[in-house]
Amino acid sequence: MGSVFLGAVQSIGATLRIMSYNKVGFAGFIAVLFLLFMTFIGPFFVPLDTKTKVDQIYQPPSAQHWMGTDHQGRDIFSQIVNGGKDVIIVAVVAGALSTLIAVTFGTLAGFAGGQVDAIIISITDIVLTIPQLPLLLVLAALIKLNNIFYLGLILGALGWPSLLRAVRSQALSLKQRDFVEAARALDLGTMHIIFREIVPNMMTYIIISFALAMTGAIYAQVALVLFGLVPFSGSNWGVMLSLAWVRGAIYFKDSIWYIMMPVAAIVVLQLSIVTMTRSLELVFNPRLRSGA
Amino acid sequence: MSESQQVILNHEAGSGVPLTLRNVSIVYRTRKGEVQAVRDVSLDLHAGESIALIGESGSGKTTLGLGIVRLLVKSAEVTAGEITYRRDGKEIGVLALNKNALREFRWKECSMVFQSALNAFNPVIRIWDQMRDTAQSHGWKDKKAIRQRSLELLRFVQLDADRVIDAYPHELSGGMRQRVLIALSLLLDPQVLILDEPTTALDILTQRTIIDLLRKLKDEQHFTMIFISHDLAIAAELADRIATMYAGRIVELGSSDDIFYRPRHPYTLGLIRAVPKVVGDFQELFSIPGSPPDLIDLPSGCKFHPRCPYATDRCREEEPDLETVGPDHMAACWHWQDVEKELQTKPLHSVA
Amino acid sequence: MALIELKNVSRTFGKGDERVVAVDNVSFAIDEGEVLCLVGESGCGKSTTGKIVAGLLEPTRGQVLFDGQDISKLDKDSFRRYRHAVQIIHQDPYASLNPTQTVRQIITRPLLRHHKVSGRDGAEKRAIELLEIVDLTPAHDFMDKYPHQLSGGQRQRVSVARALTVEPRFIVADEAVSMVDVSIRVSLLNMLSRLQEEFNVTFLFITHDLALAKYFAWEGRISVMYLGRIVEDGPTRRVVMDPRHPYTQALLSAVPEADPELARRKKRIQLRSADIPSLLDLPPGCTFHPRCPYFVEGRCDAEVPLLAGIPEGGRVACPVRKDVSIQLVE
Repeated sequence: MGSVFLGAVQSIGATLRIMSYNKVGFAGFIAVLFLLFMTFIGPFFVPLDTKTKVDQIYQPPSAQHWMGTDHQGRDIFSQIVNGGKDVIIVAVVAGALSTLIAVTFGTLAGFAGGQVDAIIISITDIVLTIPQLPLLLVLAALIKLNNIFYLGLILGALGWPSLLRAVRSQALSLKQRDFVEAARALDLGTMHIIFREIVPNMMTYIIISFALAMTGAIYAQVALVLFGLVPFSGSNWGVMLSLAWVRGAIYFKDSIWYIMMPVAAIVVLQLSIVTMTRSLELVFNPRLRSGA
Repeated sequence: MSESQQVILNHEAGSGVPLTLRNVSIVYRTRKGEVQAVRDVSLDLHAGESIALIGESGSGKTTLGLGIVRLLVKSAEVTAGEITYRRDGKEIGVLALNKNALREFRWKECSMVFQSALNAFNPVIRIWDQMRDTAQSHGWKDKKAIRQRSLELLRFVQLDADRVIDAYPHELSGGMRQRVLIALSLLLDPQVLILDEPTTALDILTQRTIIDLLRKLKDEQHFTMIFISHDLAIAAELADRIATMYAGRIVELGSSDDIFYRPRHPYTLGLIRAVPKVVGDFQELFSIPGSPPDLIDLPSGCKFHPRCPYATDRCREEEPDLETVGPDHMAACWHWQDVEKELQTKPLHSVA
Repeated sequence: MALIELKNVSRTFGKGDERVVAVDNVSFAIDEGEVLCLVGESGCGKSTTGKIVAGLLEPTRGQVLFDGQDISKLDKDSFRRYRHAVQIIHQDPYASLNPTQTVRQIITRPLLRHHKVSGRDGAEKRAIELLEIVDLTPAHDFMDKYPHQLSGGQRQRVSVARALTVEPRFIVADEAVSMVDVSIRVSLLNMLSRLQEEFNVTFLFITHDLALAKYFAWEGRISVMYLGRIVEDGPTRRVVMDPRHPYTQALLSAVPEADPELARRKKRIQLRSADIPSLLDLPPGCTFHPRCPYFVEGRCDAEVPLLAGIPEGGRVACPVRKDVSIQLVE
């Protein structure tokens, strides 16, 4: 048991070392870890400030209020710390679902060809042409999109078509590669070929699209909140943005922190996810590792 | 035949040395370090002569060829040496040419024929556009004259000129494309042609027609040519002199017969013994053990020593320079006389 | 009984106007332990034939027999045995290995999957043995390497070692040394020859390089293909030193030789046309007739010549010239 644990620790160590070969990517990775820590663990240490303090409206950053205060005198920093969790959960759920659908069916379509491919492509094209925003509007009217998991699932269910096409064309070209043919000659089995020969060679695509799916979901939910389609309670970053916007917070020097902070938080999250992919690439594609 | 003699510019089998390389070194800067692709190469190319640069991967032959016309990638740099070009009594230092003068030099004085891969062409323009663009970008504006000349040259390379000139690259076969590239290289009447693997990737019968065409260029038009290839056979067909390159240096230089029948460098000998002939009886072949060196981390002394059956301590410590081993024949080896002795017991004969 | 036999095998690609007959009515047999070379230029169908022999492509017509049995009619177990018995080595060292796997993974996977060894330790041991057989020594140094860390020649050896994991009886080498440095080719070929001698592996060696074919298959046979058909075959010695089919003669005369004296004295065979027919629009009768210097009007463009045996050994598909010897060197 101990050796299994040790083995796991060693591979994590090795993986981290490989990721560190790309400085920028590793910085992104650290940033992501930090944001995760801040948004999931942080709230236990930095409780949400819900007390209205009329005398402290729109205070600039200070020792007391690291990021200033909002239109009700509430501390912005605590809102940032507490408001990221929902955003990230929606992003991860949406990203994971999109990627899962795209990779599974994209590889299947590319590898199997024929009828299977034709059916999958037709469905993809149909979903691709669905206008997302009107659909979300309609859904918002019909069901309460309050629940972050549901929102994540819906965004995920809409975001996979373009990724699937990319994965499919990768699978098509990989299918022709000599080493895949050799695997067939060696009778290694279809499952093995798909998951051990083809998919590992697509990891860069997969990682990047996972990242993009997440960033897309983040924008989508912020947009939804901004348009008032999703009446979130609480104060996630999207809500903060929406409230700040509605109050015209950008027009005043003092209130600008209220709108800039959630924007900054979102931007930092997006950037970290995207830059992290550079390090992840190194893990999955041995050829990119210099000095290995 | 006389028609084609009129077509190309008067290249009399003249005297003179159109191209001289002196101590040229070229380095690629990569993340892993400096790749010493070409090290201290000196060469004189005589008018009407064809020299083959023979080497395998990592020998530096292609880099050297690109270096002469200064078509190296940005990460490569000529770190030492001179390249001098002469025509009609003028002398030009090629490495010092500025952008405009360089454009004049390339194609008008010295042009390059690349491998006939499809990506040597712009796929969305016709052959005529390619020729006109090339001519115009080198200062020739007269469209009618360019068209005339292009047709002449396409005919010279034995293509159906009227059909080919308006075709797209993908409509032509590999052999036809190679001929177009040769015609293109002749467009501005250069004195020197550099051909990089001109027949690799072509089928045998097509290859033969290209070789015959190049022979025609050499024998009838007296072009001065540099062939870059890993294929000894094409050197045997077309070259007057051969330079074998290893790890960025010329290790042997001599006439075609000297190289094939009287080599003095162990690498040259190894190459010749590794290449089979088609015609004739069975011959034993021998490969060279080991593999080419890492150009970032070259071994000490003679770079070939790890693979050389004649290597001694001296070879591990000192790198030999080219020295004369016969009339107009040089080799860079401390033990060339051992190679000579070996060939006295086991001579290299022609199979003919 | 031959190990592998092709009977009237044809393979077509595409439909309608785009229909290409890549392999046209090809028949040959290879005995156990033998070496057969398929030579020809690009588009002649040799690679396609190789894949059909290896069971990676189905013929449109005709039969492939393994140990006398039609492979399309084998039951699952027998087909599996056939699949293991026939392996393929590809041309491009840069595409033949999975870039995301180490040499260890590449070699041990088939060993473990097919239970050729007992456990991981057994697989490790056997992998080392195989690497040594293909002259990748010291084997330990190679186990953890990724393909991009190996040279072209080394990758090809890994490909061979991988093929050997299933103890094949037959190997199809499709231009296996064409993309490797000249000085290394010979050692790869010698390694393959050793496999033939020591383990009695039968070879189908596909190449466009006649000189290599002659060297590797000197004790074996050569089949010359043109536009999907076999035009000549026979013992290598006979085909190379006394070719009868005009195409074979043209090929042998056209090959550049690494020997200036020989290059000067080789007989030049002029073809009537430099145009290579497209597979979409084959000439009638003998497909070589538009280029053939011995073309007989009314005959060569009308009847498809069949392979006929000659007393000197092998078959020639040219009734006009099959009994005429020529000099290749003047």
